[in-house]
Amino acid sequence: MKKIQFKNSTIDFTKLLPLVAVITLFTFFSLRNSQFLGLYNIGNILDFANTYFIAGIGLTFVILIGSIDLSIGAMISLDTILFIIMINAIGFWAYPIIIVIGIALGLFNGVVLMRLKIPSFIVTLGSSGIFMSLALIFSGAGPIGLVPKQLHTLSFLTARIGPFTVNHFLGLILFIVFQIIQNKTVFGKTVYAVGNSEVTTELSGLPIMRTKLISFTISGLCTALASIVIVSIMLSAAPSTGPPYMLLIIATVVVGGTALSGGLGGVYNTLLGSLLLSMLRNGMNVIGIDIYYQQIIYGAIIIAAVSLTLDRSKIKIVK
Amino acid sequence: MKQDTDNFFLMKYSREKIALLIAGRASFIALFSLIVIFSFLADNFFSLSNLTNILDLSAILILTATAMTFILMLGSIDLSVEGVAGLTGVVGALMVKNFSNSNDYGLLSIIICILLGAIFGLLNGIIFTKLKIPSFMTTLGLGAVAAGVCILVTRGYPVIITDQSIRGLALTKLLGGVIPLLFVIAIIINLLIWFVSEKTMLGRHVIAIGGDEAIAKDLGIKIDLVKIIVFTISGAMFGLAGMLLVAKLGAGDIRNPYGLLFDSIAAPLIGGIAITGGIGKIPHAAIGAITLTILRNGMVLLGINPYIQQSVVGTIIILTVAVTIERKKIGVIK
Amino acid sequence: MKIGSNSMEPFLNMVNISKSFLNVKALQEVNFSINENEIVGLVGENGAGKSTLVKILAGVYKADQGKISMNGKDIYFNNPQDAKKHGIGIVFQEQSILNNMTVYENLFLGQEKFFLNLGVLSKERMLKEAGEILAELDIDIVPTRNANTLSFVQREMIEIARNVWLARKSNAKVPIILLDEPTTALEQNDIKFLFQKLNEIKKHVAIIFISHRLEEIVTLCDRVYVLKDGKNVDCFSKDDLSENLLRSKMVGKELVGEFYQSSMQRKAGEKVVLELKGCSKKHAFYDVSFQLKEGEILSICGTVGSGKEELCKAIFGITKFDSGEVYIDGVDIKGSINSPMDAFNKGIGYLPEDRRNEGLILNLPIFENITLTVLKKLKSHGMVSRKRQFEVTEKMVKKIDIRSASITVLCKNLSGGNQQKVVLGKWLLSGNKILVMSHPTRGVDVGAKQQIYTLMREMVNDEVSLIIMGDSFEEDIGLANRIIIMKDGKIMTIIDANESKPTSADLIKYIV
Repeated sequence: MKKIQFKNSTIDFTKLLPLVAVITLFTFFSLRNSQFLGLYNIGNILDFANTYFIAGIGLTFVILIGSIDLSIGAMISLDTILFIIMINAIGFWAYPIIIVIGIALGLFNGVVLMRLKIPSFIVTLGSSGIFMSLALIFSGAGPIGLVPKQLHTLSFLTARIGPFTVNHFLGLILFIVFQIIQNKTVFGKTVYAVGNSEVTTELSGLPIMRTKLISFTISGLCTALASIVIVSIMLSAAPSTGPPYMLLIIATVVVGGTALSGGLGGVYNTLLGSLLLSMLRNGMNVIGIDIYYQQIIYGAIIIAAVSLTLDRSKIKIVK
Repeated sequence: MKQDTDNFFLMKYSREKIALLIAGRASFIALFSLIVIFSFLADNFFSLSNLTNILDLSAILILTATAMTFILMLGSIDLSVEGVAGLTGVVGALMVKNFSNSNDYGLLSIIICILLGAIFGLLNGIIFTKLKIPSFMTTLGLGAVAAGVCILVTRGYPVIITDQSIRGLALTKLLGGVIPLLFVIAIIINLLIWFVSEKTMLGRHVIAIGGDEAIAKDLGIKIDLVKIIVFTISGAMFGLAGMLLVAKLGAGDIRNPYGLLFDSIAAPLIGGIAITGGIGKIPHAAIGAITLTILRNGMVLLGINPYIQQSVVGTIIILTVAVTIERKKIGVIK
Repeated sequence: MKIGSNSMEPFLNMVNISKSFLNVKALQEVNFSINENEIVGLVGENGAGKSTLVKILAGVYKADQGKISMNGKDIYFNNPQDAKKHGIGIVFQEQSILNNMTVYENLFLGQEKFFLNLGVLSKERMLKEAGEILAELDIDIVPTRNANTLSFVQREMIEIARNVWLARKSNAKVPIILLDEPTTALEQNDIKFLFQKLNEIKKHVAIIFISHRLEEIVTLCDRVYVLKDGKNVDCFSKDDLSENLLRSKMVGKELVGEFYQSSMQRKAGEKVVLELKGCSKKHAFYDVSFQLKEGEILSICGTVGSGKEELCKAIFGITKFDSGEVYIDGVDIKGSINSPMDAFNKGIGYLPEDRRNEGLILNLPIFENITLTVLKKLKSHGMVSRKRQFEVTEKMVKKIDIRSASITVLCKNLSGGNQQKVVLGKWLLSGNKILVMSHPTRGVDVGAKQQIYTLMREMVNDEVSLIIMGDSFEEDIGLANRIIIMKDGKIMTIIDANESKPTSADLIKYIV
């Protein structure tokens, strides 16, 4: 065995294309409007990208194993509301508690999937109802603002150095941690194996159910972390906070190049996807594209991205 | 050993038998029991005005649940209901007499709404069958596009209508003020689709595809064509629902259909339609819709925290699917 | 060659049919014909080409060479629909009856256009015609019954009725019905019932009957074709027919010993590594008991319906035993194997028949596939070390001679033989000592086959024990220390091949 060359053009393609897209888009917007490159604007782009990315990490693992999590929007509503209530009441203790809650929610999805053996699509559709219910109950269906004297518990997260904040730093750390988990742990490798061929993976003696359970738990955890970031920026939370993120996070993962069919893509792709989406959003505003066109563009992009990355040889009958 | 063969069939298809039984009876039983329970627990439940209220509230859900059921029988799903209904409602509102412009197309607007909905359904069907993107992704994306167009047109503001005859549609009650017109329209459409599913070639093919798509294909059934037609018809029904919502609420607004997606999926499931396709009958969608409406209405009358409602419905979705799903059909559960 | 008397051209004539899949020749210049009022049997070992021939006739495959003629005219099928229009219908083992519909709906599924009144289906007409065809074929089933209440043989009758009806509707002169292993899942009574019906039906219909049960073939058929290795061997008419004659023709030449490296065969050890006692699984196998000794190659032989595949799956935890005991190294495992993961942890491995979809992850490279079973052991500093993955893979690749440009090549780009070696390598690495191999050399070229046989010999020398299901009798006989023969779910006998090898004819005696 001489030199090691990666003959898999498909993987290269899906890692390369989003990167090219990011660079192209960046150049395009910068040239159209000099304001794009302003410090404040870059900071704005990073803020949104960071939020999409952190929440997207969890969904990435779920999609990599071939499942889907439709409860992310509701989880964000619930997590942001609980977090701000706790911050108002008990200050810094809110941080560890919300993380535990996030993990618990993800675990709930995973356990229902495992025990009842029904598609993740249905489980998370159902649980989104339950989580939204809880969000409505805890918030009294209205927004909750931050109690001013607790500002110090959150402000450090948005402290800026140049265009960067502590939140971004969190995103960076999560990127490194989850990249390592994805590429270098037995769990990570099993995720790719399951997503590519669940049957083969099972017949090779690997733990399928446990892998799925952990993936959904990660989704819950990352949603909780993203909620922390969201609250630190908005300084408030409401039941309506979450639902808009549902589409955006799915778009982030899918546009970044992670295939819905599973086993292809990853955290790096989601990072690119988050940058793409955030730049798109910001860039469209800066050059004056009607905000109302934006949603249309998101919807169309999702369809296009899925169409390109889907591995149809794996799906015999498309339902 | 002969007994074994018979038991074999009893066992092998027991899940299916349960599903058939439930589809046949349990939904009626559930409906009946709910009515009884709430009549005892809440004073004003069994009053004429409340029952009329229930029929009124359930009308539009019956319509969208019927459409959703038709698609569920294929084994697919349509998540674009809110986007499409929102868009068609707004377009319809802009076409009848309203505060925003000087149009006055009256009842023609309803036709346009239906056509617009049908176009989106057609797009869904084509993208789904030709690009081979799973229905939930296709309809999710296209629904977002529809919602986007809607927001674009309204810039977020509602379009208030002044056309009294359109509003009248929603306010009219037949049979001496008891049965809302909207309810009658919804039931008629439900029966129409039932007729199609039972008595036309299209309907039988839908059930065959839901039963076993591979076998249906082998027997020469044109799978893609059937799917495209079904999605188009559903889209048309969503379009109609959008306009009826406007008639009811008095304005075209992207927020009108919020919550409809969740309930449109829950209603057929409660009615016993299997998520895997091929089982259950269309009228069960109506039963499920009415049951769901009664459930919500009853909880309101009992003063139960309204926010708990979503939990209850969500849990019911999970449980009904867990019971009626045919795991052998799916193979690997994703 | 004795062919039944047909001085004139047969109704359906297939001449010089050849078909290859990739590099494997499934059929070579095969002839076949059938007439009205005939039941023609088709026999041969697994892989002899029966299924392929029949699928070509049904329009599922297209022949590479040769021609088919009906009533003197040449015909071409592009798809199953074409074949149906000519009156040819096939009833597979896995039935095509929809459970969520009634009998009459199933009968006319896909052909509803014949019953439309202004776009509306006429239930009366459907019921009437259903009643007619069922009456004509003397099938006593109420058309309004739901299909999921029917027994296997009743479903078969409905499928036959469906095909006959369609043939008539298409104005075919003689409907031709192909039955592929129709009796596998049937009870004795049902089989008698089926044969009675077939004899009644054949007056207006031509029937092609594929079965591995020679006693049935001999009872039912007017003529029988024997295929072996994709070629015609012989064709017999009823008068000359006997089970022994068929057996001898199916089997043909005897072993080429060295191909299977028989000289490398070792005597099995004394230790019993795996033992099954009274194991059963409903509708699959009953009261199976045997021992697997250390370093032994045990082969399980049997044709369709023998239960051997289900047995192997249950051993690996893919399905569960309904009853019985399993001992590993003498210890009763008490039903603790509930999944492949459990079986793996107890030291069992499994090479599936469908290596592309169940043995390999095609989109991943060689080194990821091979190390799938040992990821936990390749950690350094808590993480899977790519360096160690590479080291371990390189060693294995060299050892079993996997031919590829590098270990980063994706498995979907490898040849069948190399793919199989990767799967083998994965299990060799795992260190599991009991390996179940389902058709280990299927779709593998001759050279690689021999390499795999050598590998298997080396493995058992390293105290690994193998349970194999081979592709042919020769392979099973050539490789095995002992041979278990199963039929219809039961073990018929266990033949000792340690000292002297049995012949294929010896085996066939028990199988058919």
